[in-house]
Amino acid sequence: MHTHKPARRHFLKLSTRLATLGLTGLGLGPGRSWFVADAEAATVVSDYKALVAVYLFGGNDCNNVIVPVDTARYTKYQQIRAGLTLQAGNLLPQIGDAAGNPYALHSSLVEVNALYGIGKAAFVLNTGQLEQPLTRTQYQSGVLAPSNLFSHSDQTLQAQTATSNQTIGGWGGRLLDAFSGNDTLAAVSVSSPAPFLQSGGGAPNVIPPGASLNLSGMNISPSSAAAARRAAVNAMLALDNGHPLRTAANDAFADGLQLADTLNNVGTVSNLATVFPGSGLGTQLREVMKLIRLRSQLGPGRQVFFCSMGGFDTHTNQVGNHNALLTELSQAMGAFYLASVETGLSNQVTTFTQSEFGRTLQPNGTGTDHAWGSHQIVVGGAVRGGIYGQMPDFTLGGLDDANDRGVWIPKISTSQFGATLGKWFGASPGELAVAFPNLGLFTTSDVGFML
Amino acid sequence: MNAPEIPPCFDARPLGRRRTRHRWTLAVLAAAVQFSYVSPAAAQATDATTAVHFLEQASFGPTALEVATVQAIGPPAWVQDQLTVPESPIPDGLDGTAVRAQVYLNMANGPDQLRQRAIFALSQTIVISANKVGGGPELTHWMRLLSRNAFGNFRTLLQDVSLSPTMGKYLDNVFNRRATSTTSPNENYARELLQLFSIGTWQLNNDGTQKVDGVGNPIPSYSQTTIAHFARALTGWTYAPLPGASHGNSNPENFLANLVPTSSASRHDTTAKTLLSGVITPAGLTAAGDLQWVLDNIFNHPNVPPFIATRLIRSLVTSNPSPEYVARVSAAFINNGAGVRGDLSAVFSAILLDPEALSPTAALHGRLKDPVLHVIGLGRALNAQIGDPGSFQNVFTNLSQRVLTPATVFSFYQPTAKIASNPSLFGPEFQLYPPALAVQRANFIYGILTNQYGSAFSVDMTPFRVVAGNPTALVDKVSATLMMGRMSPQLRQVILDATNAVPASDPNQRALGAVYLAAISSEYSVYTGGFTAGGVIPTDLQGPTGLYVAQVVGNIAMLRWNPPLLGPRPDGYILEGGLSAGQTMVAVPTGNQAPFFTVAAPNGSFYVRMRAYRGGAQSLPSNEVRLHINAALRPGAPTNVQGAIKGSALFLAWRNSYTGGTPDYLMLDVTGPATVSVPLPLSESWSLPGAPDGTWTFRLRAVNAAGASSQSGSVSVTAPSTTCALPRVPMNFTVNTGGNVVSLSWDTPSGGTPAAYYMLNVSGAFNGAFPITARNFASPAPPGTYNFSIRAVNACGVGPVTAYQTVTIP
Repeated sequence: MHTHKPARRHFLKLSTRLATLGLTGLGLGPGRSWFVADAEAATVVSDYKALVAVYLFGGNDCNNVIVPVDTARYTKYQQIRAGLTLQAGNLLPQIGDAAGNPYALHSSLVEVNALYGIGKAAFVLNTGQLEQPLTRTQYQSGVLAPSNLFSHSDQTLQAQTATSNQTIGGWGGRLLDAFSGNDTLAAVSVSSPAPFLQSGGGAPNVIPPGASLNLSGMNISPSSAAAARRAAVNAMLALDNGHPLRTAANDAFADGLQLADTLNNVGTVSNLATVFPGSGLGTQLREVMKLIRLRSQLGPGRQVFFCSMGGFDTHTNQVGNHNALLTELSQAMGAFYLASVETGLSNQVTTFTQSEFGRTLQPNGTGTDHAWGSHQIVVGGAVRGGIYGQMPDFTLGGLDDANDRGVWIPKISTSQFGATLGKWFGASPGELAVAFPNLGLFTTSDVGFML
Repeated sequence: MNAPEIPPCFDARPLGRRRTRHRWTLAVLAAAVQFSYVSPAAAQATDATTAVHFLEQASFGPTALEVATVQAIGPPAWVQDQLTVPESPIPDGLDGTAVRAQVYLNMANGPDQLRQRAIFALSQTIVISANKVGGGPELTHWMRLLSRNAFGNFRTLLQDVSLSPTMGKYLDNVFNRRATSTTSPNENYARELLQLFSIGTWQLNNDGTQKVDGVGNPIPSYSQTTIAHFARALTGWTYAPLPGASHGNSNPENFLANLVPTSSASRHDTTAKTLLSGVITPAGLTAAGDLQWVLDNIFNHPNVPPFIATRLIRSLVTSNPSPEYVARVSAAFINNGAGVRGDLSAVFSAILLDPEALSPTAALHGRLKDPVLHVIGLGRALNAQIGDPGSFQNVFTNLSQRVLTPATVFSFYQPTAKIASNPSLFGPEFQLYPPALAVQRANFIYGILTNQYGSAFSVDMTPFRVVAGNPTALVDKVSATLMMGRMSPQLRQVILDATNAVPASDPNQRALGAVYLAAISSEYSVYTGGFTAGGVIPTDLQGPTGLYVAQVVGNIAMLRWNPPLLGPRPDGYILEGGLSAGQTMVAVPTGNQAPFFTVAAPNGSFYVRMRAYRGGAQSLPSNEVRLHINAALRPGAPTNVQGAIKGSALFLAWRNSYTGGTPDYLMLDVTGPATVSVPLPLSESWSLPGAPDGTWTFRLRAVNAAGASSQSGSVSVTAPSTTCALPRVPMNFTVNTGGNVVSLSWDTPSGGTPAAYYMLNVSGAFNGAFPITARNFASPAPPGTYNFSIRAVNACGVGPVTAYQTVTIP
């Protein structure tokens, strides 16, 4: 069983469609003829594109990523943020949205600011998990909200799956389902294993930056002995005594061997002039760029990547920690964009941030607590630079606040955010509806930040 | 050690009576034990397969010696013995890297293998990470805490964790203060205490399945408001003042003592808070007082037994326990057999000695080994010399499992994760086994077998090399060493073929190849209990189990059951009912896969059962239960009556029964200082804010038109509660001077709750307060006048202060 094996992926896709029709509960499983027809319907692409998710574990304090600096809003921001206020010295020079409203970025976001200046970066304001459009009144009266709000694990899962239904995989994996010809490099995490990449085809690959993926102990002499040992490994991977956990362990191992073979067969890439920072994210994005170059030279196809940074759960000592985190983020995203320009792939690669939630506008002392809607950054040659969505009203207990600490009720759902990227990726409206099951509940499926 | 030192038999004496000096005779003289005495356990000699499988669950991997021991004395005696083995120490003075190395070495080499495995499981449930609290003192405090409490009481563990400076720093509760005009209390610890360390996000049944509301949706355990209230209750703590330093609100880091209340009581939020289960704390409690309410409230929440049971079972035994197994371990958590809730030694015993652990029959029993278990277990089987891991810890980092260093408070993997390629099954450890890491793990093992890590992990391949001239003998040796002779014929043939392809002139390569292939096979990396699954996984539809009537209102009844654990997943279920046992007058399909069904039934008394269906196939029926609808029958008595006094408030909870007629209301029969019967509406809990003093006994009866049920079991409580009382004032406080030396001494308080430690206050020429466990103190002092007082402190808080004693040093 190989990762993203088309048969499994399309089986899943069909199941999802049936589920949306409420049919699976009636025992009407997919018939074989449906299955085949559906497999043939997968989109065949004629170009290469990649989506790169940068996941900020812990809940990024979006309130100090981009700040409205008109007097009215900045005054309210300052009053509530108290000791965590970004003063003039901690903000970069003003930028404006399409309507001319002034904003300024955190002073650590130097590279992102520069990308915004050339129209290659977008900010998507107050986006997050929603089951359906929701007002404060509706939320407080118990209208359907995401389950287990404010919990890291649940919201991480929901941010990555765009649904509270765990069984249908992540939205990155589901977007790949729309396309045929996916291989072992189609869904890769260079960080931890990510639900974002999962779909029915099995575990996505995890490739630690710089790791050797060739199985040790296979090069012995004589060559007949080496061949026999490798044959033994392959034979062992078929032995599971009917035990499903052993089957799963064997599958993982077999996929790992095939991944090594794939990487060995696609050749090598030359060194880039672009220097990546040596930080954790810099190292991950350097590995992603290598895999993008290896894969893109094979011809048309789609790849989805998952990178991550930890440490955004800034309950205490937020000021210094957040400075360092945003510096690492900005430098790595900047270098990655430059490398994509250097390789001529900038219009085919889009990078975006995700995080399980934003943080309370009101501090708890030297830090902030778990909140909900957050602002995300999108970078790439195909990005329509700008500021999208609506900055929340900075009023504790106000219309945008889920409770009374500045917990923003998202105005743009993760599904809309993902579908905007998915449309650029080449998914049809029907395929987007499968990838994002509750997309139809929102007024638009395209937020507009992609060309 | 001479033979007569060996105890004549292994009996089931209580722990306290066991003599620990016999302990090591087991490990050292395991072989002698086999011959030198006959005990009831030895009489039912344990077979090698069971012993090996048991040790895979109860230790960091079987060794030949431990297998022989378990075979001789049996798993129950082995567990009893291990419960009293002295803890492997974490020595004083280690830096953070050295503590992590020591923890790993204790896992690999410690004689207290069960405790080490328990610590590993607990450390993945109640989590800190060296990524944030990586210093030697932080990690030392934490590991000693887990080790000390591994077989203790979960309530004590929760308290030690909540007062731990390491946890206080990791989840930010150390300087958590009440709301100010611009800030709210820090919610980090409050949330994880509930979500990860004790009850989880969804209400659970005792068997670990989710409770559902009337329309079948799972029920949250708490809301954001609950979290905010817990955060408020947990305000007002700081590090203990360093010896000699003054006590303030933001003391510097101190990992040698538990957190203490801030010097200013106003850092604590003293308003009333609404906790779980509707419990409301009285206003005006101290930080220490509120903490006791918080911990009691959590500890007594019905989710704790199944939540903790499920976590620990997954960590030790199997990724997919049956609900019945979880329920049995939950029961041991609720009552250790001596009426004690939360006894972890009983919980671990129940987990490891359960039939589902010892003689698994389920085709999906087992779990993938974690990287640490896989690698250390291999070393133990090979009798490797496992030394300071030093730099090769980074390999564990690459495998996503360096000890004490998980990426997040969720530990190394989500304990509820399913297998991506087979989402019908739980397989949390598979999160650490994606394709590239499966190969990386194999490469790590190859490095070990080729001795690339020097003294950190030294394997002697000689025993394999010397038999490598005979491939059959070599493979038999590998099977005997790694799998206690249980290697399957298929794997054996595969390894034989590979061995035969290597020339006989290269015994090194033959030996290496044979051990390597076995060590990376799924037969070794997944432990399955030796269960031969071939042909046993049912392919036909299995029936549901555990059917019961959950509620009846008028003519509407709700039924619940467990879905079949094995075999194909049903499309739905069919409710069958009739007027006599086994009779089917009606058959109603539920139409979906949910394991509950609400049905409108006519008046009468019925026999009902459920079958699963899939396509056109139907399973055998579940158990059959009686369903009484508006029947002229008296109700069954309520069950599971529990009660508690918190301060002056009384709380009762119970379960209603639908085994008879549907109850209309309840009668609470009270005896004690007064005797009274109180009618209650049909609920499952009751509370009284101010219970009169005295010992009260409560029983419940359920009532309907046909009459009242028999009385339920009783519960007795005494008000006011004595479970949390401040210590009294220390006695005989005296202060003397000799030259420039001040000497203080005092005696324990007379009666009352014992003091855990004392708080010494000084004012005058020097101002400060610091904790002290001894009852005397002497120190040179600079000239000046000093006022000393002393207070006793226990878990409830700080007791009354002694009179000041004033001395002057000239």
